Amino acid sequence: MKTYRPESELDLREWVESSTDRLVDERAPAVTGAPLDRSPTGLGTLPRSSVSTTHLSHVVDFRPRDLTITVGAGMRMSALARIVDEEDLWFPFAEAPDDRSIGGWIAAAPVGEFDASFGPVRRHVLACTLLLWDGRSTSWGRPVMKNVAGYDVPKLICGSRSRLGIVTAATLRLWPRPRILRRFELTGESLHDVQAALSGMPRLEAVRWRVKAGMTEPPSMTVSIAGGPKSVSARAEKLEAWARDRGVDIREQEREATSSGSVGVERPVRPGTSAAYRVTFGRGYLSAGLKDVNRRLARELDPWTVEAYPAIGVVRVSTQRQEAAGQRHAPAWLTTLAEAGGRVGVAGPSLDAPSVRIERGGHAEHEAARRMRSIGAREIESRWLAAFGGLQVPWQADYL
Amino acid sequence: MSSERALPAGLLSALRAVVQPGAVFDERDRLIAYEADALTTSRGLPDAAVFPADRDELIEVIRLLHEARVPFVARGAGTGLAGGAVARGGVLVCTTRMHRILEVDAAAQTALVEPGVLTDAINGAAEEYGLRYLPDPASAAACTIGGNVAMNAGGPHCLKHGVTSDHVAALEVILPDGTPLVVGRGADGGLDLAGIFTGSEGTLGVISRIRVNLAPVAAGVRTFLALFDSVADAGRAVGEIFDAGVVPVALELVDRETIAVVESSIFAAGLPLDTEAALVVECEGDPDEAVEDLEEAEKAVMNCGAREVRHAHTDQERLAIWQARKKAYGALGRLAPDVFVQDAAVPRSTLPDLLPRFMEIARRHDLRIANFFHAGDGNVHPNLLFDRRDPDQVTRVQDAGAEIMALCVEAGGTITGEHGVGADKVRHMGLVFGSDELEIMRAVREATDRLDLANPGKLLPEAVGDLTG
Repeated sequence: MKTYRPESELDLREWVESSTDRLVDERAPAVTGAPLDRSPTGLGTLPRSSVSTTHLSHVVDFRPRDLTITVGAGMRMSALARIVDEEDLWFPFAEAPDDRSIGGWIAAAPVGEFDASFGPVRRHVLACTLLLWDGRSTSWGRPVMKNVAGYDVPKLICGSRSRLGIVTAATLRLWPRPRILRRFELTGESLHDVQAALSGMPRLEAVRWRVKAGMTEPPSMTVSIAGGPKSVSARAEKLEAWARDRGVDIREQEREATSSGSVGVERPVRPGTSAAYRVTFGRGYLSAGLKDVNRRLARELDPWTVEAYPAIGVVRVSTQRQEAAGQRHAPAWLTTLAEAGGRVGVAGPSLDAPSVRIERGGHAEHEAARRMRSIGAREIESRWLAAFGGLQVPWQADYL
Repeated sequence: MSSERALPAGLLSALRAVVQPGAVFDERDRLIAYEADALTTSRGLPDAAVFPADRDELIEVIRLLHEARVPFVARGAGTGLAGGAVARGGVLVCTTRMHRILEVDAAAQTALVEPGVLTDAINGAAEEYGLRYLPDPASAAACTIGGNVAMNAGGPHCLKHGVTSDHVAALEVILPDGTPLVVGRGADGGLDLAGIFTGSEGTLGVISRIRVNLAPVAAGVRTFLALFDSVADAGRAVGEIFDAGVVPVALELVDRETIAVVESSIFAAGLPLDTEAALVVECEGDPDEAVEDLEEAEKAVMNCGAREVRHAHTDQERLAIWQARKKAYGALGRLAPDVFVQDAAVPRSTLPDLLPRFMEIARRHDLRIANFFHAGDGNVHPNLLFDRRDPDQVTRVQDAGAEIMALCVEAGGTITGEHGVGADKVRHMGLVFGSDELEIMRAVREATDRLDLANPGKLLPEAVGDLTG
């Protein structure tokens, strides 16, 4: 399969207008996923060609005093972190270890560690240029912090997996670099009940909890504390004391290694070999939800890792598949969890979107996720995609 | 004027059959109360008004209106500032009787509410759990959450915490054909439909239930007021605070004209009348953290030539500062019968340059201007004072308003930061959207409302003619 790497938006436009295999991957060389209406088997086989925005990685406009930067979609988080760091600014998502491209990050709208304290992807995309699948270049949003003119289309673009079009450039919301940012790694059995553990800890700006298959190793947690020097050191001391009291191993991480300058590992993704699921339980229901997920996962043969983001009540499960590409069945744990509604212990009238999201996977899983969505939402989604001349497919590329 | 578009025979009695007694009326003298929202220059009379008491009644009402092909406008408390909740003929669907808080889920930190709930009432219900709803439009005591969501309302504390959209977890919308639809933020891998319905100004349907996010009440809150001899210095201080690595929860600017009028009102906070501009700076977090951040902010404003910093030492003093800021709009009534509330957002760094130019535009059109706004967000409100009984003043206000809009857009900004487009700013939409984008948004609207029934004439300009008004 060929991956085309256009040098400009104009080149990309030509490709879009001439291409019949419409698949985008913002981060070469990871390429996967096929529009279901085009792939011969309908099961996530590779498309005949794809495009990568990796060369559209320039700074379009950097306005440090306005806390905004406009960059090409191919720019990597590590490069962005370096650029904004020079002006004492900060982009929370660049702290994540996977060095995504901005375009891929917008398309996939992944969970971020700092979501609870700084807001998710959708809060950080102020404006973007969207190349529609019919070749028209459109522009949405403005480089300002508040904007309610017209429909809030940038929200629709975030997480849309390029179905509306290809993001070629985006204006991002930046933050002043925290005066102090410290990160700790905790490991210990006392972390099993993540909510109970957190209730004894000081306020944290970011928390990511994880446990590996079989739970033979104790769970671990990466936490960040940010702010002024006095507040940060007071909270760090409290955290260290908490860990000591409970026999939890605590280690401070060198920040330099994780922020500016980190280079992500390029992992080509083969469809069908790995899958990732995001289950939203809601804050407060995470411990119960985690127990439920772990109980179901215990019956799965594939090796898995569970991550939790307690501040937003999200659990992320990723697996390495034993079965070959194009497996036809969604895993049993997912199906039963989906049937249970993904919520545990919620009483009273509920108004929640279906809460299992497939981040990576095959046809069967994506179909399962689609079925969980209401008929009405599917219908509106399909009509709105048509308004953009977008792709009527349930999923697109992986966007590592 | 409304009599020319009389409602189809039988519609009123059909509506009366699905709602509570007395919840439908069409008498002109009663409808006049609804001829405008808080933007008093934009007026229109509906043919009737209906007040459903719950979601099921709302669905029946919308179904009947759809069947009869009668346009409708959803309205909450009518505190909007864009003429968005005004009907010119058709039926006004008022949500003010749908005011139940259905659930506060303290563990999940969310609340499920009906659209007619007052924004402040959510805080009232969340308080006992130590929780609060973060966005705080200045009219929170009077406005409804449904209106906030429809317009994606802002407020002073949105600087750190985000606007309404950032706190809406899920919505139920009654589509213009009466179909209820629950939408979330795309957590299921679908599109972020809640993100589009929020801020759609009633043009995609009527909101029937909202699940909002709540957050713990901050342990420490610290506030000061910084006084400046020049507006430009105050504008510079805004940037300097961020440069110090501090993100206050609120960062507001009030100018001399506003100070004068507030000081002569019951909300007087004892500000010297010769102050050119005042900044309200608030930081929160753990108690020591709020203090630490505020100290940094104080250094920053002093560096920019603040002549005095006044700390709020008690909650009472803090509330006095906020009353002075939040009641400024009402107090302007002392200066002129009408206020044309302007709302635009610009890149923050352009503030020191733009503020004097707003003043200059007002001077040129022989108008008084009062600025009080969310400086930290670059969300400006250069408010023009006038008397709408004088047609010449009205024309001058409109001309000056258009000039200010064009200036803000030229500086990289947008035509509305938090009040919405409504009827008022439709003519400015061409300043920030091209014809392709407008066409796509029209297609989005048509996809849910082929008959053009839901709040027609708002948000989007017609598909013809020159839009660069």
